[in-house]
Amino acid sequence: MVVLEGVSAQLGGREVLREVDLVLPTGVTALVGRNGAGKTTLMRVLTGALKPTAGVVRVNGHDIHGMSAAMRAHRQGLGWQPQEPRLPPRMRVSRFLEYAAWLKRLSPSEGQGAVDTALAAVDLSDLRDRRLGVLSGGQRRRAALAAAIVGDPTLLLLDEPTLGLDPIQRSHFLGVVRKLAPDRSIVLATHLMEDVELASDRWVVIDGGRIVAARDVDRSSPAALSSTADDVREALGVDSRSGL
Amino acid sequence: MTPRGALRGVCIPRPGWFAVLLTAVALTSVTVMALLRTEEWVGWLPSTIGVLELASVWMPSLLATSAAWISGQPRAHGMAEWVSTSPRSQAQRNGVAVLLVGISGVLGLCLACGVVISESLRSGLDHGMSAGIVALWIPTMVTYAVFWSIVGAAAGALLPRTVALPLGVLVPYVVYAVLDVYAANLPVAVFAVNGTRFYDYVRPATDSLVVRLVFWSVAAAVAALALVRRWRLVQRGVWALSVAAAIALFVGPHYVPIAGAQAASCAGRLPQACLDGSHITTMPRYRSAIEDLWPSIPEPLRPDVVTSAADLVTDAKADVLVAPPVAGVTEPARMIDPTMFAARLGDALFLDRCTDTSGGFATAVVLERWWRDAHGVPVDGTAFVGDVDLDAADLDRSASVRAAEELAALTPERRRQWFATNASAIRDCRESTPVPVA
Repeated sequence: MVVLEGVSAQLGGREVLREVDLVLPTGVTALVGRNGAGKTTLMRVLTGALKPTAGVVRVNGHDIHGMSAAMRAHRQGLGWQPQEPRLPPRMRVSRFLEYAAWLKRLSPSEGQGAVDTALAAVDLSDLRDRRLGVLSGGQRRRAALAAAIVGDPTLLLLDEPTLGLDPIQRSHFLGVVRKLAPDRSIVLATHLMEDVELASDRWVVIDGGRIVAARDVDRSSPAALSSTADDVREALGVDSRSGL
Repeated sequence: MTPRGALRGVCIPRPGWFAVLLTAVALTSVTVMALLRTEEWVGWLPSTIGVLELASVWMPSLLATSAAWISGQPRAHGMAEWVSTSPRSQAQRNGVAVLLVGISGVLGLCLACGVVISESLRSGLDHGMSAGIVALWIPTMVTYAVFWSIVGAAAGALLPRTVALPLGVLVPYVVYAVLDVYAANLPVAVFAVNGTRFYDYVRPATDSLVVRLVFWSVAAAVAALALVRRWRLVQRGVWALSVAAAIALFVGPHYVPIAGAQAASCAGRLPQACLDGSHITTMPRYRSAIEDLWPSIPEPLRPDVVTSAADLVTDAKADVLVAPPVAGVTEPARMIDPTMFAARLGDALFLDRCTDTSGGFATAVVLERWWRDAHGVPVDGTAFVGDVDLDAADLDRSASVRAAEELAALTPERRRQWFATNASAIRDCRESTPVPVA
């Protein structure tokens, strides 16, 4: 369980997160907001790359920014797919995931198993010997996702993971994310309603660095699901013609 | 962390191949130089083993650049922040580059060392080298290589690739150049790892070798501690290094004579060729070079002995020409440039007999011109380092050029007669009879 209590953060002297209180349970939490709303900053706080100026991030009860041991433990269970991941083009998929496994402190034998599992989870087993540079945009995203889930992290952070994907690739990618959801907390930062509707168990709207709304996604009926998009737009203060 | 871990933990496509390539480059670059026989190819190296030390010119640059390239991969691919969220510490992430590069480079060096020592023992050519010296400078080379691998890895992790890679090439080379060339006569030269190969007659004393081994070992240790961010230990290490460096600088490097390096060694008869012990391996080439020029030396001026230094000849009655073997910028050298040597021998035959421009100097200039023209040697002072510009020294250039041409135009018999008549005057740099017109 990840809990943020009154978290504020600054970038370049400007406050971009303001007293964020948030609980991230198991399942997919869509983090929705306009560009510059603070989604990526919140992600960076969750990875530990950015230290909050106020507040606490607790993972399993430990303040991850308070002690280096807690941070190491947090990062052991963390998977992160950055926005627009750039991957070394000459590396083969499996070699890149081996590297990711080493970064997760997995032993060679554990790492090999973790690589196979991650490749299978993102449907890239057949492409394991391809160079990253020859993969399509969707395949590259899934390779980055595979690197994020190597070692079976309990917290998976996906920053705008479907950006630039065509509808089929996006649907495929979100299907993979759904399959991963039951065993971990997944934060899916996005500004696409489709990501919220297809992949999320709940949504959180962030605007101006503050959480302005949060709700579970109702999948009990198509009508209830379709109302999710309207609820998010309403929370964002935009109408349906805005493109969100 | 294990070598296998190092292979998995670097962000490059084929770390195994990279390690093999680096080992091979380190091994072959040194081995090829050694097997091409230093005294023939490199010429001025006094020892076969010294070839390995020569590797300190480029090996640190190679290792530092390789380490910088590897540790800079995540940054170069925009993955630095992603990698930084790993539970692996930054020290571990950078340490793999040092492990991979250091192990490969040192392995290559050690293999090359085996080849070079074997070649040295087989050929028996090395002077002034001993097991003790070798035992001290092999670990020095290793620690030096490790030190630059660490520096390179740190540069690659902290700086953009466009800065880190050139620095990886330049900084180790600049340190080499400063210590081994520009500061060679200063106390700081005690830290130069490349310090045994320049000396034909002396070598660094054992305590100097110990000082540089200790210095580079501590420097490598401090760099390693900085890499793993043990700042308290780094502070102590820097303190210890500073004190040690201060003591070493106060004492400075000192040298001991190489046994037998200055002893005369003469071979052959008419002429006899004499070299010092340090250049004894050059003797066959030296004799060959003399024999090539022998027929063109006027018979009345042919010496009893040709030597690299006058004090090597003890027979006071012998007619001696001092013409050291010469090549490049070095004399006495271990290889011989035929044109340079012809110029050197011509000087010994004619110009060197005159101490000033009076008496027979004008004739000596004519004869020097004739000799150089006959052997295709330039007269403008570029034949070898320290050569005399005949055109500038010539008081009556057109006359001496004409006289040299007339001497060349004589029949061999008339030229022999002229030299026979004037041999004594030429030897004593006195006025001689004019060169007859053909």
